[in-house]
Amino acid sequence: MLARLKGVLLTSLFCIAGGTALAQETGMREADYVGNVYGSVTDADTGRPIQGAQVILVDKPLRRALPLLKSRADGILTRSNKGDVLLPPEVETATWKVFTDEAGEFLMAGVATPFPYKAYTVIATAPGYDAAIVNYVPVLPGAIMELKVTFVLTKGKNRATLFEGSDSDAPIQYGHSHGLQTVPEAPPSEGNRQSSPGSLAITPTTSSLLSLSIYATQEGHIGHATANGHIIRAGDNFVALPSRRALCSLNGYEFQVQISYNSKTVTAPVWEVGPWNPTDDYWDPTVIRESWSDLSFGMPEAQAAYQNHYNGGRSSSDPVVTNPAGIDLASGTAGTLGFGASSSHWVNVSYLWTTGHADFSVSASSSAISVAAGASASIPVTFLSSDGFHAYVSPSFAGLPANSSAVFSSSSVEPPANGQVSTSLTVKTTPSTPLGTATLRISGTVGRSMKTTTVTLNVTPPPLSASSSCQPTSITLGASTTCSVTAMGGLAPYRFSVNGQSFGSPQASPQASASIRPSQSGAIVSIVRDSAGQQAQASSQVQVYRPMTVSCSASPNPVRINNTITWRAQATNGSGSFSYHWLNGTTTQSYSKSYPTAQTVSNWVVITDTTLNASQTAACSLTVTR
Amino acid sequence: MSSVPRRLWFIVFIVLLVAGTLFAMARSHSGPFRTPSVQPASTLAVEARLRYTSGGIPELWIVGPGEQTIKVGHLSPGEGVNDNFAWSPSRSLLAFETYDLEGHSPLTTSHVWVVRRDGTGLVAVVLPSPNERFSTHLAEWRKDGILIIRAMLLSGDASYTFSYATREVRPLSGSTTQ
Repeated sequence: MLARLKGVLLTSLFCIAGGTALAQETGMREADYVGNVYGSVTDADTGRPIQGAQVILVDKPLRRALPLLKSRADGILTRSNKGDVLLPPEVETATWKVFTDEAGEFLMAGVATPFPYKAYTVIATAPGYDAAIVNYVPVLPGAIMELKVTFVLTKGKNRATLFEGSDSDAPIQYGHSHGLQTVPEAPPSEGNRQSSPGSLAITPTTSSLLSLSIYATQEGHIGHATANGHIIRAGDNFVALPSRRALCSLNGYEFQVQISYNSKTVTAPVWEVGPWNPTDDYWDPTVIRESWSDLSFGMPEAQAAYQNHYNGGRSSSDPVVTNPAGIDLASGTAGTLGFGASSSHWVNVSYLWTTGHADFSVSASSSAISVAAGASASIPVTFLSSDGFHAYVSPSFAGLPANSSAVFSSSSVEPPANGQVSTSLTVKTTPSTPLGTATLRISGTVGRSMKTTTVTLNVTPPPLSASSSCQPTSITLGASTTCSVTAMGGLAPYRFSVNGQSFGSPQASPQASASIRPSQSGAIVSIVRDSAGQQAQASSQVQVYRPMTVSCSASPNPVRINNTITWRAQATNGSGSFSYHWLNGTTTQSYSKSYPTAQTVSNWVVITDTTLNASQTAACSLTVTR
Repeated sequence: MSSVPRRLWFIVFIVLLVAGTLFAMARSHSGPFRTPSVQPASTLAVEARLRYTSGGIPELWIVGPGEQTIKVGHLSPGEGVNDNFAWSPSRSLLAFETYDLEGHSPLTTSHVWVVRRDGTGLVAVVLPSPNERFSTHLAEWRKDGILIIRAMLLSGDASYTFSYATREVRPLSGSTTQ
């Protein structure tokens, strides 16, 4: 009897010890995984954010208040639209209590949660408002999904709106967009999961990438359009997954998988939906899986139907499932892996958008660039892989000013694992692009993960320059010359001035002219000012000459008959470049001649300043005697 | 006692009649029919049947009164016919649905077809642009002879109406389309 009692005691002690060890192990696993909870709190009436609202995360679902438990000793009693509920005492000492910022947003990063998830209660309160409670909402490891809770509070007090996490109108959703994934280690293997082909094998890598053993068939259908509109060609590299949730845009790379088979690996985008089902996102945790959420995480419905006669052995649209495929490969993808024609095999598939640790970043070569309106500028952009990240990244941009455009030199980039790849974004502006700064957001997207960097784009006025010319460039003192000025670039309207004298009013035309009477030779300086405050100047040389004076003479004078005399023309001032035209047609400055009879000879000469293109006539006479 | 042999002879006669009918049907085709088959009304004695060729290609036949058989057409290799045949309320049109036997591309490879009872006028129901490529699924015939079809688009499920008379496919009001 004593021995039997000892046996019972020993068995009990072992059970207690085992339970403690299991609890400790479970506790360690919980600490290994963290999720992120973020969201916003807004006023139901105004739609405006509520700053300072308190958001509480409680590790214990609320209970319905039973009549006998309506005591604050058991917790805080709140009257909700679904009856009385008891907030557990942990509310007072909850680890996670945060306040919303001025945008009404809150963030709880690094909330402990075991794999695959843990249910929490999220409560939002604000002074003067009714509380909102979302009960039993799963917080997933950040590498898988983040929880977003959107609270809308109404004014009142001592009441609460209560949602269950499973309610269709519960204000919760999941996404990767917040970019705050922390680093869980590999989920623990579970006893009912095996790694042999044909069975479910969940193998998160050290980078928390979900990897599954999946039966792969070949798509075929050459010439047909896929669900995202791609026309299938022989040798294509893409895959089909059985959910619309992981379908790339046409020719996009938002969702990619890495497939391994017989030591060969290929990365391919998801351009088709199938096989068998269009709503079977078996790679998502069961709490958010679109269909077949009673299946194990990672188990394709077709595999369950084929192997276990799940759903009567049929797919969603009723056909009998004739293979356990969870992925379809395009011919090029299958060929790279070494598949034979039309053959099907078990492969290992990594779902790259589920990446948590492996990550990428995007950066620009500078935080600000300037471009003159109407000109173009290029921004080098670098995509950097970390912790083994290797996938196509779709670059994108936003925030361009009006009347401008931009284009990447590559529509997709593929940074090598732990390496980087660069592309450039060329921004093209037009003269009508608004001046000033704009914040350009340059992003890279893989699946639901988007990384962004910002660049300040400063659109400056087009540089202003000017040219001028005066006609004529040589004038006589007192005469005028017309100077034309042309503005190039800049922003209309323009103001013009010549030699310090403004003329005309601000005008849209980039050309203007003015008549100038310079008093001396030199540069005529023209200045243009534009509406952006820019100034440019140009100069044009003008020669100013004193007025020409002319005369002519005969020497000797008087002269006897038959003696030779010389007629000579004389010009002073002017440009010094003259031509002559005598009455008898002679065109030299002087000429000699004799006269046989006594007489008085009248002569004249036209002297032309060839530079100024001005002529004057000089007259002179000779007396011939016997 | 004399009524018992007469009743026995009557039962034997019925059994032979049924057996003869089945034998005649079997002789009139090169291969056995397989289910599914549907009968719009027993009085019309018209039914649709599937038969597979020796190469495994499915054929759709309509069997009329007096065991007249009409071949509607054969499907592409790798295509199957779902078992949700549906006769129009007037029994003049038969709608059926084909799909990819290996489950490839369920969003784009399932198609609804409509054919007259005499096997002529086979029409594929194709969604209006830009959704031509997406699959169509059989929902039901309305009493006015309009066929309701279901489509799974990228943005979600949507319903359309199909008029055999005009061949027009239109979104059903209140249904989502993209």
